[in-house]
Amino acid sequence: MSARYWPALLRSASLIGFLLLWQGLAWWLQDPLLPSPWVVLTQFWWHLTEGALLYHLGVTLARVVVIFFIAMLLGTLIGVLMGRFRLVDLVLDGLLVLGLNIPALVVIILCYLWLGLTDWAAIAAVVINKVPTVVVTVREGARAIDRSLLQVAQVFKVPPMRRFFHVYLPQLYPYLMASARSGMALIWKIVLVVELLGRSNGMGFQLGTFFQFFDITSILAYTLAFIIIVLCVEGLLLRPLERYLNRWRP
Amino acid sequence: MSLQLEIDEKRYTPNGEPILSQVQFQTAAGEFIALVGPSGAGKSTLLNIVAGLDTQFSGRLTVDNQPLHQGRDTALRIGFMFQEARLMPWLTVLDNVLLVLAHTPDRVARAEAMLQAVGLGDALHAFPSQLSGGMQRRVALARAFVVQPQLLLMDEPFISLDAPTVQQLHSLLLDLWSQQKPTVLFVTHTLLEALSLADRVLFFSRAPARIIHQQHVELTRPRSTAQVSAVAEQLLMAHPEMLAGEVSV
Repeated sequence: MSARYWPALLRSASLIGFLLLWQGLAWWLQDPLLPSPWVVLTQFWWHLTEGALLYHLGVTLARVVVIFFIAMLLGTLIGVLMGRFRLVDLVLDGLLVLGLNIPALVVIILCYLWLGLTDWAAIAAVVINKVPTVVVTVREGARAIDRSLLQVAQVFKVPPMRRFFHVYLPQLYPYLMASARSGMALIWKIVLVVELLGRSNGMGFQLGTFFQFFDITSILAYTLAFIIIVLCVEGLLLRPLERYLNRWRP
Repeated sequence: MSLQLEIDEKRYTPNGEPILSQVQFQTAAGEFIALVGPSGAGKSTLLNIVAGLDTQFSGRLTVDNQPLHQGRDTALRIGFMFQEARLMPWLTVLDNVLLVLAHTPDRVARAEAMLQAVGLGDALHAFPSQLSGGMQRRVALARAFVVQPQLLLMDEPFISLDAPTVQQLHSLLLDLWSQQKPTVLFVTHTLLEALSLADRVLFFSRAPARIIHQQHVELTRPRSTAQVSAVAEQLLMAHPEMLAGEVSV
């Protein structure tokens, strides 16, 4: 086997091991509370082809995407300003600590109470939860900006847009990638809670329904849909993007 | 075009020792001036002031009686070569040069021609990390000359390279300079480098730096090592106190 397949093999080995353990445990226990992976898979197929999985997944995905871009843009903007200007840092630092530590559930409930049970309330709640973590990471990046490269741009009168995209932003890429990764994970998790509490569609709403009927197989089938999406985002978007952004590293 | 420098004083802290004090000189159009002095004497600070990177000083910089820097505008096109190559590591060699060129239809052709001229025609799409130190300096040299600078600032640009590489870069620099004839301010702490390149050498004292001597070098280029050493020897004989232990030969 050639060396380039080794990482993929190792990556999947832990997943396969987990599935085998699960299957073994399900056989051994024979309990309706732990359906076997195979049962979950057939149920997943049913939800996919006959049920409404695709619709609810689509609704949730749309929310996640909108939230992701709003939170990244807002967080990057604030983070850059805080890293660059000491005054902004001093003014916003207290709010940042507050934002980082306020429980997600509190924000969600308040957003629903103040904005009503709407999509915008749901989106606002998750954005408020996510932005502070982006800010913290990007602020570190903005503090670590290499002044000597900015001086090059200054002396040679590089126009502002080009200066931003070719001199400034590339120095932030590692920090942006890190917050994009942790962002995806966090947003997924919170969006589901938001949907459970106040929306009538989406994966969170569906999971809530299954919970009421003790439909464990369907809960696991929906979870499988998540795992597939997350792996696709990581493998087809984030990792290739990261490889592209790092192509200059020796 | 004549650049007039009058720096009354430069301090880094309000009550600290000044690093530059009463530094005044004037350049002729296309003149190659070397600034020599002990390290830490404020020569780099001087270049940063001329480049407009450092604005916290008292004094005047004028070009034909107009201020050199006015807000964000600069009266001259300036090229700068720093001690380190200071290339953007995420841009290819070609993109590093294109970065400093205005949007004109011929910019790619100009950048490629300049990189050809410094001998990097085969490395256009390489990243800086794939190049040797000498080649990185060539990119920096190309970037400095591609803007067709009227004023070229060089801050010990060939430091920490091996002797043959420095020789090559010197002759490359002199070729480009004689084609474009920018005014050059070349900071170095090596007397021989200064004498082999410059029309005029300004000697700086220890901080607070002042100009303590200037030497015109009339030799035609390219100058042989023997010629340059002879001039250096004469200088050391005539001004032992000035150079003793303060400038390496």
